[in-house]
Amino acid sequence: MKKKKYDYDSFQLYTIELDKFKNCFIEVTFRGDVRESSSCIRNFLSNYMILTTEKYSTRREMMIEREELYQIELHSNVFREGYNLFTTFYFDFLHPKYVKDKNYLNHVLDFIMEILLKPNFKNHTIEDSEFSYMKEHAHTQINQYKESPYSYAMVDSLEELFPNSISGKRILGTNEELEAMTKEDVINDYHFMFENSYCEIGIIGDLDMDEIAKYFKNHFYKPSIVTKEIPFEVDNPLQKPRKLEKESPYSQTQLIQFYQLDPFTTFEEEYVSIIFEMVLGNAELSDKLAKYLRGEESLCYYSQFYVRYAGKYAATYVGLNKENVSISLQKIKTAMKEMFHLEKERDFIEEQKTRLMSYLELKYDSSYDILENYYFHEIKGTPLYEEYKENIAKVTVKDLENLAHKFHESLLYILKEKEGEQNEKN
Amino acid sequence: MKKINLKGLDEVIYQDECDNGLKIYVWVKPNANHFNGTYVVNAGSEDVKFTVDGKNFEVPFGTAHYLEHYLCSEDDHSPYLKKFNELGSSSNAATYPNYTIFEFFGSNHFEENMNCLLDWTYQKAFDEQEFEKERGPILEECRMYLDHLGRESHSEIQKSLFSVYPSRENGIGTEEDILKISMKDVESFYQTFYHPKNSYVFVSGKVDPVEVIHMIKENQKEKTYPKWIEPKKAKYKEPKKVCRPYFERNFGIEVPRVYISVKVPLKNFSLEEPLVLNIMNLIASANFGSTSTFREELLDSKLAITLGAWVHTERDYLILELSMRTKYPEEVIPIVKEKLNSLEFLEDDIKRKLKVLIANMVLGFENIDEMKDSLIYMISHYGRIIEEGKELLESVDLETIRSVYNEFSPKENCVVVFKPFAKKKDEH
Repeated sequence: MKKKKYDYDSFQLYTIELDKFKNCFIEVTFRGDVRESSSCIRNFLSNYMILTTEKYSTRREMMIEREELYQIELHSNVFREGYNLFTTFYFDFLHPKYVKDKNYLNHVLDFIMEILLKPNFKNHTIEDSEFSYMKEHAHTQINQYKESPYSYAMVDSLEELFPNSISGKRILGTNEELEAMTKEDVINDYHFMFENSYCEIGIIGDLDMDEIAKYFKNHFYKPSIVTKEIPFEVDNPLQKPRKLEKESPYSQTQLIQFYQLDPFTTFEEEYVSIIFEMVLGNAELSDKLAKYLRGEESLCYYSQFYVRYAGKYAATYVGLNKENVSISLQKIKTAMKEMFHLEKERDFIEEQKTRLMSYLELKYDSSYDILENYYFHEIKGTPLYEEYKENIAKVTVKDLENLAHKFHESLLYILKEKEGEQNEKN
Repeated sequence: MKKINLKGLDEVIYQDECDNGLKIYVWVKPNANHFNGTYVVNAGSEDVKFTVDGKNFEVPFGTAHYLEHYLCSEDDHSPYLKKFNELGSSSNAATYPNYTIFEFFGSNHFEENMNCLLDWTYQKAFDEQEFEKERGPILEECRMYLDHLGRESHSEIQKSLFSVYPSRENGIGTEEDILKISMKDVESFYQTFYHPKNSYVFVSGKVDPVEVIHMIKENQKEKTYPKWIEPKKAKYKEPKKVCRPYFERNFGIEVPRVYISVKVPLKNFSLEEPLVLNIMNLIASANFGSTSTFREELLDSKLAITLGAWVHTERDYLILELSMRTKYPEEVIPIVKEKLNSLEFLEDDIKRKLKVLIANMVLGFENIDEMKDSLIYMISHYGRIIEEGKELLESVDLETIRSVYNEFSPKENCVVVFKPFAKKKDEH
């Protein structure tokens, strides 16, 4: 595995030359400050950019070209970490050695340039029909979270917990934001994204990376150099514990107990918190939550505990019958309380560390995971898999017990199942 | 040990069999960093009626799934999955319509993991208290799926397509079924089907096939099983006609969904099922996929927001399924039905899509875990690994495709519509 970074001032290339996979993978990320942009508009823009371009001006033409390139996989994603707004375009394609066309790689790279540099802004506008088609799609996307009780509870509870913080804001935006968005907003956001974002390009595959870098240097253009520091964490102040119950049309009650966090050390954030998650609620059926909620009391099918340090919160989730809310809460408290005294669980903790090591080995079988790990290491200092393996082994029982003191109960969110017949049918 | 070369794909699978009848498949991926072991029992959620030695059994729907749960939980009051955890591995189990799998993923202690897997379903004792403890989680799993559009729509489509096939019923059972399942039902299912002669092991990843096969055979030598009496699974004679031509219901969604499914007897086709499936998927994609003008027009006119098509089989029938998000179900249904009656033979599109299909087949082997699932489906469904898949596709000419196209008839079809509940005044 040969890693190399190419710095072209306004954009950087992170490459990994690796002869392991039959595919090659390129991801192009624009990373800016979420406080300066609307993620609703950005989401629209990124979807629009992969749907049509100046040259492939209909969705059909675009799809035909993708098939000509042996079904190059293409998608975009807009996500947030702290105050960083990531807009990423992913391109996954067959290694050129499996293709008879000798210019295949160049065609793929030309296609990528077309998408990034030549959006379909004919006459500096977007066609009415395309704009309204895309809006319709965006509305559907925005409303989709209501179609699953789990997604609804996740989105709604975060809005309730953080009404005035970026952590509570929906990444897709709201229907109102979308309605207010104009074509000019989208076009302006494209230029804003190019001018005000870091641009980081990751490439992995058995390719001559110097040649690829040369291609990007000659063909890719980004106007300005960005140097602004954008924090990867949001400081959400601690709130008093409170309980919120809501009615829902769903068949199962959703319970989320939030915790807010005191600041973690880097070691705690990178390593201890992962083992903490596994011991409390992410070890298949062996973790504490599963043991109490499912194993002992048969209260649920699925429970989970997770830490989101970028927003300084953590949560326990359970899907259950509303009759079982009180007893489940007691069990969740018991499980959390036990995290203060883990001496007797030394073996279990060691098992989770071994399991995590094994999980990290699995990551080496995915070109996407290897590239992401390298990319986040470069931009944020996230440990490389090798560093994870070395440092996870150093996590002690005491580290975990100390971390338990940094969790403070916050919002208890209960989305109650509907009354009466569970599954109305015509 | 037999060596199966997947021609043109640079992939090899080794096959062998233990003295007790347990088949072994080993797919070696030398570059992989992990391995997987899957124990497959050829019995699943649709096996509810069977005869053993002249005695008839009928168990409630959900029995196979209940057994899968029980086998995961039961072991001296701690979950069986914990054993894999102790080895630093992950594990899982799942019930499919015709088979049940138990599997682990790991990167160390292969032998210990494999022995643990082979012990997982072996000589299980049934304890009433342990058995009852699983009912609560299963009921919650069932309730969780009630809000799951994909599961519920699949279930209604099956009920519309078929009058007799057990796929009409929910694989994990309804709440009523789950409450009805007794330990005796689960135990008789276990005694009937959980036997090496009705099972196989599939191993993939960075392993030595000779060692793996030797290890499994040694493990099996230590085990004793009762004499295998081959159960006769119920056979179902499904009428050609669809059961429910039109059905609609309300569901917790924002935009209506329309599903149009076509039912064609597989015997109508002169080619073998796997090839028919691939070719019909090409035809469906050319007519309804993202490069079709029909789809483009439908989406441009805003009559539909999405349109998807896929072709699969259900026992003796080929099913072409179209799914749409649309605000105008009543308008869209006749348009799509008309299109179904006048499918086009789009030569250029089909040629291009054939090229894509072959490329995807090559790339598919990069995703070890997904491909492992496909190979297991292939073994359980067709009884063998299709070695010549890529060659077959490469040999397909336009005349072959045209023959399948001519043999397809959309006459028997059904429509399932899911509509949102009416909104209250204060909702938006």
